[in-house]
Amino acid sequence: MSRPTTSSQVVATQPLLPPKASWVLDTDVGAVIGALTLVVVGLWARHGGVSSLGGSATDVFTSLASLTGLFASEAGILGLLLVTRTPMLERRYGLDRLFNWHRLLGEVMAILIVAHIVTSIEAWADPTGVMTAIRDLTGREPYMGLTTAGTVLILVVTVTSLKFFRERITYETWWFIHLLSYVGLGFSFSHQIVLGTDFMDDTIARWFWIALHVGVALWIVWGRWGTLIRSLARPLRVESVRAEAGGAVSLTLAGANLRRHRAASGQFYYLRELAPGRWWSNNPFSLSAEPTTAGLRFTIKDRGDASRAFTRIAAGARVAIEGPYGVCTPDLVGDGKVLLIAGGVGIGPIVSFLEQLSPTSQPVVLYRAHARAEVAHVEELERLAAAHGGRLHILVGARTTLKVPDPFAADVLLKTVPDLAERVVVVAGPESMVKAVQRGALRAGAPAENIHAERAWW
Amino acid sequence: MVVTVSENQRPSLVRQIAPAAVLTAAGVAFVSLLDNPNETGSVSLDFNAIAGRAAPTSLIPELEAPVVPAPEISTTLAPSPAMTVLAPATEPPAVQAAVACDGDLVASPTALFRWGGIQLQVHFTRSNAICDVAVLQYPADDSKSISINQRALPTYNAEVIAANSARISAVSGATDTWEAYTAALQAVIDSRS
Repeated sequence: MSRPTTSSQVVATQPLLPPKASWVLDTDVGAVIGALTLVVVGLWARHGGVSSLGGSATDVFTSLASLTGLFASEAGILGLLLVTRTPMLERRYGLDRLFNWHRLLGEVMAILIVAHIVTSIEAWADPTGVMTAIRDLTGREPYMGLTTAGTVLILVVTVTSLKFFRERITYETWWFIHLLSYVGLGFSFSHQIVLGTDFMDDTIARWFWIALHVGVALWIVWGRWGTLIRSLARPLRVESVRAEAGGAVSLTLAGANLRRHRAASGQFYYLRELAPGRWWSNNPFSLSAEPTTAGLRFTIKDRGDASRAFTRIAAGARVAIEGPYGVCTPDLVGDGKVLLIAGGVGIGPIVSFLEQLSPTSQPVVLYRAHARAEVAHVEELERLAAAHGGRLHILVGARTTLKVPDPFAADVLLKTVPDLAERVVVVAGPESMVKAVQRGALRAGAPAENIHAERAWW
Repeated sequence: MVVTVSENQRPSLVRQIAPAAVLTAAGVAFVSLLDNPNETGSVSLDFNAIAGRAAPTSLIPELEAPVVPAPEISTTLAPSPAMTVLAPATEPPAVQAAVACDGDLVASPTALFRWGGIQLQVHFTRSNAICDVAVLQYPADDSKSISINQRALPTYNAEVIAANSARISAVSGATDTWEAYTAALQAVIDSRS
């Protein structure tokens, strides 16, 4: 007599396969940027940009306006490509680095745009003066009204991304303002083709420029917006909700389509609860357990913002996921020994890391928390550390109450972990802690390429 | 024992250099294609896109076009060595030595636009090609107009002769002039076809 089986027990729980590695090399990225720069400078030079520099003041300003405009466009295109989150770049560099470069390029672009505006006005100002030139360039010349509006939008986006303003608005407000950059860039494109000295006279250059922008637009639509739509179309469900120490909650998300999903410990996802009033809020969270076909676990702490809603989520709720992202995964460790350092909510990715380590890794886990009550996943940590032949140190207390001024100074680290220089160091936590660990571990003799950091994604 | 990133075997030198070499070659090839003199004149797309905007430019309806020839209109000419009004037929300019200007000399209607009017005198060969263009009248009420037009008009004249049509591209900052200029020229061309 065969026993009755239920379908859910037929497939055993298995760890997910790790994401495929990117084939992109640093040299490839350099080649693309270099070639684009070559073409941009070539456009400028072949259309008389260089010879104009020896001409009248108006010629010089016209030439500089053309060059700054072209470079601003290039910075904009590269900056947009970075945040399409295309896997071949993300797997190579990690989303946080891509975001940093994106912000850097955005700032460079804003400076170039301002330089472009100033030089253009100077080029037009001869001989009737700046005011007439401004009037011409904000509306009288074809498409310049549209371009002016677009420029204002782009500068608003850039300014709201500056640290001062970014800290004073919510993520969602900032994100919706940020969407305006698509409108701004679209508006500004028209004047490049119609008024740009490099494009209005040269058919080949014009079609190249149009093709480049259309290509970038398609890449964004497919890569970025396509990812968003696919995530909305196949949401996961909250399988279980479990209260952890310190008011943290661990959620497990599960769904049938996880079986073909690839992810590794240490990675993070953007989660979006599909509920009225919540669907537009999209926030990053790190995996806090090895990802398996049974589900993805996230440990979320109420930090008084969008994370609060997730700590109150009910089992059965639908959650759209985008990801996984992040390059700080256990394959960095290989067969070597490892030192894992977690601060606050950074413990999530460290727990998931521990689960996927090889038995030879002899992990040492340093766990830094502000208060005893905030220490989460302790039993799990102890069990996992012991299973891999390692040990766990928990350091609790506000900085002023500690015996040493810097718990991650080189001598303190070496006292706890004498063989630090032989270990791969993985740190997850707040920015300031990550910096302190990187400094201390370097001084303690760990090579820079063996120190890996993931910022705590909530 | 220091562990390095394990499964990332070092890519071959060819793999590292090839993309850069290919892309650089493509970039250089592309740049060398640019600024092709034949390409400079063909701006059909640009022309069509802006042609719709030419509506504000009005040709004086009272003036019967074309007037053949019309030397008396030259009284409004502003002084500019680049825009000398040519004496009729017998004296081709030195720069046009290669082409025999042995056909009609036609004055255009005045194209009026917000800064004033532009009137051209177009010289044809016997085979009906444009061999010379002179500007009989252009806006010269203020120094800005004079400056813009003195910069742009010689370019437009040269472009018209090279293209043998009104399909010429605009000079930055002289778009209004371009609209009026091409409208005036097109009126002459239309009147002869």
